[in-house]
Amino acid sequence: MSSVNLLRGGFRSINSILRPYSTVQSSFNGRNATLAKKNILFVSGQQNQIAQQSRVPLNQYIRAVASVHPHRSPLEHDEKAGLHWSIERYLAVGLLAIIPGSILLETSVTDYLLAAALVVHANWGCRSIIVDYIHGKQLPKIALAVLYSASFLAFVGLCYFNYSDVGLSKAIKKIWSL
Amino acid sequence: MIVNPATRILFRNSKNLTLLKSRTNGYSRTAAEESRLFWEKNDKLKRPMSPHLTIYRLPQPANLSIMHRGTGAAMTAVVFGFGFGSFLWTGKFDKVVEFVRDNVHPHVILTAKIILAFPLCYHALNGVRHLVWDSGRGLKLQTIHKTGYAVVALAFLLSLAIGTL
Ligand code: HEM
Ligand code: HEM
Repeated sequence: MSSVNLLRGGFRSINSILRPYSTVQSSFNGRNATLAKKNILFVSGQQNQIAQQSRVPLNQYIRAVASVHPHRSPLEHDEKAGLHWSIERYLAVGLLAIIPGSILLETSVTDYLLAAALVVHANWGCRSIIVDYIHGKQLPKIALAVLYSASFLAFVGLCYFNYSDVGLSKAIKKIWSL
Repeated sequence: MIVNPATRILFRNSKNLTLLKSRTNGYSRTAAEESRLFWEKNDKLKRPMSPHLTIYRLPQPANLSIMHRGTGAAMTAVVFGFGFGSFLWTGKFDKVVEFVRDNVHPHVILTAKIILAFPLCYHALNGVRHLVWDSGRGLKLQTIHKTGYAVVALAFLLSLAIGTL
């Protein structure tokens, strides 16, 4: 049955599908592709179900290989961009703790941490906005240069405020006590 | 043209085999190239922007998505503005606060606080929603609608609570 399907190009057994690509692999560009289970796009979306089903349409099998990592591309440049993407997410999670944490703690260390985290997160966020909306050869470069300068200046300003004035957390509390 | 087996099967019946020409390493294009070509083609064909923003009514997820972007950009303006401003009021922040207290009606201040709190509450809550998506969860369309309404409702309540603190 399975060989018939194989010949028709319709179905393959899950074992013959996953093994060669998850373990040996294939070394695209001499690199091993890791098959992240979560990102395999199967019809059911449930790994346990897939294992039980044991048959997967061929087009899904190809997609499983092609989407090894949602943010990974074979080119080295893009592979690092995937790392960058992950760091951006860790920082966003960190902000959830840093914003309320620094307001509660009111220490100078957390004030500087808050300044850095806010500016870096905002910089990355605005960078993706610019990349999305500003096209062309020169314009994006100019816009990004303006953004980086603004971020740098804002960070210096916030540090200066922490150094020479009451600090971010106390400032927020003072505004909120109005 | 060297093409890895998976890509070869993927494009076996495809008329788009020209896609593969730009790379010799077995992959088609990078996302950046893809995006550049997309915009070049749109410009060349003088295509209008899609979706047509004055005609097409955005679905709820798209509205919330652009709100995430809007609140992020607005807060960036506030944070960066405060950063730049700190050179202007060096060591005089208390005086600035007093000036506002003396010159602005309390009701206006209360309203301003709620208006300031809302973008942060919405963006933070919706940011969590984004992070959950990024982990591959909550991506069913019905779920997306439900969490969307939940985030907006919670953001309203939270900003009222924080604003009146
Ligand atoms: C305010 C801080 C930062 C800014 C403005 C910034 C900006 C950038 C930009 C513009 C790129 C090029 C991305 C592209 O080609 O699409 C890049 C790449 C990269 N960044 Fe950052 N970055 C910052 C902080 C960091 C940090 C903290 C890390 C790591 C801990 C990091 C790691 C990387 C890596 C690995 C790449 C290579 C990705 C690639 O080549 O595409 N960056 N960064
Ligand atoms: C606890 C607080 C926050 C969390 C959890 C959070 C989370 C996130 C996440 C996950 C994204 C990426 C959205 C995406 O994938 O498209 C994002 C984007 C962004 N965030 Fe935040 N954020 C927080 C606070 C802030 C603050 C305080 C600012 C401004 C100073 C800010 C500015 C931005 C900007 C400008 C973007 C880019 C928007 C876009 O690309 O559409 N965020 N945020």
